[in-house]
Amino acid sequence: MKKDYLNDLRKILNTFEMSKSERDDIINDYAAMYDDGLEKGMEEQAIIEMLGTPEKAAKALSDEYRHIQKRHIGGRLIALMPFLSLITFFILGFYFDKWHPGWLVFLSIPMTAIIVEAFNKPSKQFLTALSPFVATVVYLGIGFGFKIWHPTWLIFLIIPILGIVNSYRSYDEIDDHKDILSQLTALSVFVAIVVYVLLGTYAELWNPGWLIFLIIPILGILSEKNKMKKILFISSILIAVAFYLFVGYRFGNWWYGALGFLLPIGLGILTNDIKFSFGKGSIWVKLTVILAVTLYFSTGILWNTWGFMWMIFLLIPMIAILSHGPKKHYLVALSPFIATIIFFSLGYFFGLWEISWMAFLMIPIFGILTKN
Amino acid sequence: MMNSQFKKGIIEMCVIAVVAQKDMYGFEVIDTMAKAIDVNENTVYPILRRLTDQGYFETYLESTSQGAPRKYFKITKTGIKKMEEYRHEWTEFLSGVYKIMGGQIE
Repeated sequence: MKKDYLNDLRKILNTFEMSKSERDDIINDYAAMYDDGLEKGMEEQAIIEMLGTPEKAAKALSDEYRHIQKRHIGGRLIALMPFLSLITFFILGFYFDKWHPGWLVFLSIPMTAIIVEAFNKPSKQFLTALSPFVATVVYLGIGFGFKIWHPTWLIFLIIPILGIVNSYRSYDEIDDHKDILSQLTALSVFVAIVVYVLLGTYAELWNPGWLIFLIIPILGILSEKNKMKKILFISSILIAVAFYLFVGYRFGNWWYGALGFLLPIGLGILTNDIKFSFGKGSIWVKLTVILAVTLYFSTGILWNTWGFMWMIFLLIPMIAILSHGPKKHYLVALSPFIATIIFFSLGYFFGLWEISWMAFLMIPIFGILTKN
Repeated sequence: MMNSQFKKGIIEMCVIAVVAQKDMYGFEVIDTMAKAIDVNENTVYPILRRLTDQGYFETYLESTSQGAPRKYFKITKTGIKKMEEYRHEWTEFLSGVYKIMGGQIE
């Protein structure tokens, strides 16, 4: 941990204008203070809190030293990329008549920025910072190479997954048992999406494939302290799943099968873990939740719309943003959801995976437009 | 809440006063400060470093029984002058505050 701490500190200090000897001196001082803390019998987490995370320590140092300015390593390269891309684009277009896919060279502009930034980040955030780049390359590579745009888009899920994994490892978190479980619960959302889409796409198992999402509440319940409650909840969910599958496959009636879920829901209401309160929070969000769940299941069971109706769940965070978020940032906050809907709809309904990913470009564009 | 710039000034004054009492190594300064006042510890080391840079402190190494030698901070003549200046300003400021708010300097 000490080695990681000092390495990360050095990496951040590398982005500041200072002589090597000054940097080494600071690192040595932090190493000595760290050792003093250990000698005093302090926990490493407590020492890091005392000295500040590498980010905080570096920020405090730069606040004190007016002459230490953040240096942009690779800044020149980033500045040069638009020109290099334009030249490459014209050469590919005029000489080789490859306007398409020659325009892809423009992607090198944000990618260079991402890579350069990634190298300036502490090692633990390196992968997270690089993940958008890796995901885009894999997505376009497999898409153009093998024409498998769907479900290759799932690769973009590595961005939030790595984000969650690394946030857990960050210095601000104290690693205890509960943290691992909450991290697993957060991760399970994305794992469930991947499994769900793969099951649906390749095995036409949209239903009952959605049952995989039950892993989220199951993992959530695992962090419950009361053992009895834990066993009761998990077994009730498993019984409901078994009932749903049995009635669905045996009698072909999924609706009746779904009645089995009244068991865990009833249990939740009885133990007061599920509450229907309309007092606090926006009524619109709650109505959207009910509407989304109803529409998702009813259209799914009636018309087999499992493959795309999941998008209706995106309405929940969108309505929440509209009713809680600061008005000024509506567009920016909503843009990832709008982009996902445009992206998936164009791809799913019209097979336009090849260009639909560009919908995601609206996120930074909105960000820049509303910045001032 | 106390203005952060104002608080920073007070912490700086305290760091000078702490090192003026006896030569100390980095961790010792942070520890001494944290025991007495509610201080955001990670701000102490950068202040120590800047004060050294400005010539109020000088540093020397002293070998320890275990491991690498320790870097000690020692107040300089300029540092002592600065501390007296701070003490004067601080007393004057406090007496003014007490005049308004009531109470007195111990």
